[in-house]
Amino acid sequence: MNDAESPLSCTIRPTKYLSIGESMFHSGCGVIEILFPNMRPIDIEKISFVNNYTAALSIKMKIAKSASNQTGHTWVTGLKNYQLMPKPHCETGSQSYFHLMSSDFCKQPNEVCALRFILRQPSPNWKTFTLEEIYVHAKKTKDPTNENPKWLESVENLSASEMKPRDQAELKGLPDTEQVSEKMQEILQLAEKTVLSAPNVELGRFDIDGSYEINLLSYT
Amino acid sequence: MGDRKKSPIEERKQQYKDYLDKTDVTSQVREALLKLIENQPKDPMLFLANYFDNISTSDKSDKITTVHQILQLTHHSQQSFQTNLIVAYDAASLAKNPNSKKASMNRPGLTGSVFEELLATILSNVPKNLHATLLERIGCRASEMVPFDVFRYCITVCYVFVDFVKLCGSIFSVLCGKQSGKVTDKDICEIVISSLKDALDSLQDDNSPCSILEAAYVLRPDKLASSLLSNKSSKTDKSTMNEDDFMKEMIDVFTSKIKVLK
Repeated sequence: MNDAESPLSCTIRPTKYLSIGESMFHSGCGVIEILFPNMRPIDIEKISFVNNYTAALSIKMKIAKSASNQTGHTWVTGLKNYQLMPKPHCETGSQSYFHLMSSDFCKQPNEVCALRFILRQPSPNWKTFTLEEIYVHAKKTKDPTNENPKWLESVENLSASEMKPRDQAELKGLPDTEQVSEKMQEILQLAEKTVLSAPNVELGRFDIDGSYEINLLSYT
Repeated sequence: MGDRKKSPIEERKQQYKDYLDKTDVTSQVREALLKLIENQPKDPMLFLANYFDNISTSDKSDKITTVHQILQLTHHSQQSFQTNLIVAYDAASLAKNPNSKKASMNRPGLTGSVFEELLATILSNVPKNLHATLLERIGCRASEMVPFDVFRYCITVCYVFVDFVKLCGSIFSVLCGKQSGKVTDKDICEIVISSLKDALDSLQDDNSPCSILEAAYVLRPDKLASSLLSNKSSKTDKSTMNEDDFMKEMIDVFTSKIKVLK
């Protein structure tokens, strides 16, 4: 697995506990909403979080309808009743770390605009429950500009026993190519310098084809 | 109360001080040290010796020689060369006679004629036939006024050219190798010249590190050696090339990269 990219900085709304009307009762159900930066759709690679007494998790994803002609969005179930705590009354799994890969989801989490985590905790033992340190990692896009230039890949393949061309040349009485090459590369540096120091200001010549003959000037 | 009687040591100190003040030596020595620090030459004593030599003859010298001396203070690859360019430009642009009432005499600015003379002085060590192509590209007409940017460019190119000619000379002697006399195989020379051409062609104007690497890759020893080897096996006659022709062709390739002034 390649190293995780730095997680996206998303806006995470605090857990909202569901209730009916104004009566205060523990419904055992909470919602966390996650919005992505700049509101652009994202392909999710991984979601990681730390449990805090949540028994089960469902995820709903808001998928942008950019693929089809329709505008707007739909809410799709990504994960249904994912068990975080095997026994809700007990402590196991209550403070564990979880990673959800894109393969765990029912539907591919591509082009997601927002996420809703639906938390369930049926046990009356735990009055408050939430998820902490929620990080969303997006899929890495391949960098097209990172390819090697062609000339770098065209290095000659010499077998171990073969002599390098410059040693072969020296044996045959040809001039020392290392010295020549060194000096040529110095010339290259000098040429580079002339290109770099090109003037930004023009002299303001009025030459036509390299000559300044008054007789050649036209009236137009 | 009278003046406190000075001790002999203090009297002598005062004498020395008066002498220095009278002859204005301290400021000149300070100037020399400042120039030394600015230019940081490899051989400080030689630099100082040349500097004082120039000072003593500067009363009789004209504008061109002074400017030339300023430009010679440091090699063109050093940062202080840029500062010297500015000082030299100011010195070269001084009006001929600021107090004259004639307009042509009291206007400051670098004229083309002064500029041409300066180029000729810098290139005095290079044989005339070799630097003709260069002057075609960077010469200025007598009536034109030369702005600083153009001055900077042309002077840098001049000094680069002088270095280039030296390098070509040493390449030629390496190519001659163990042969006696100053001639070498024409084919070897042609290969060297064409590989320089290829390298300069792949040096694009965008100055990216990649294009510089690519150009240097073309000039690596193994590639040169393989082209020389493949050529050696196929040639039949042995024509030779002498130094002058080799230099001319190399210069043609090099000057094609130099921008013509507009």
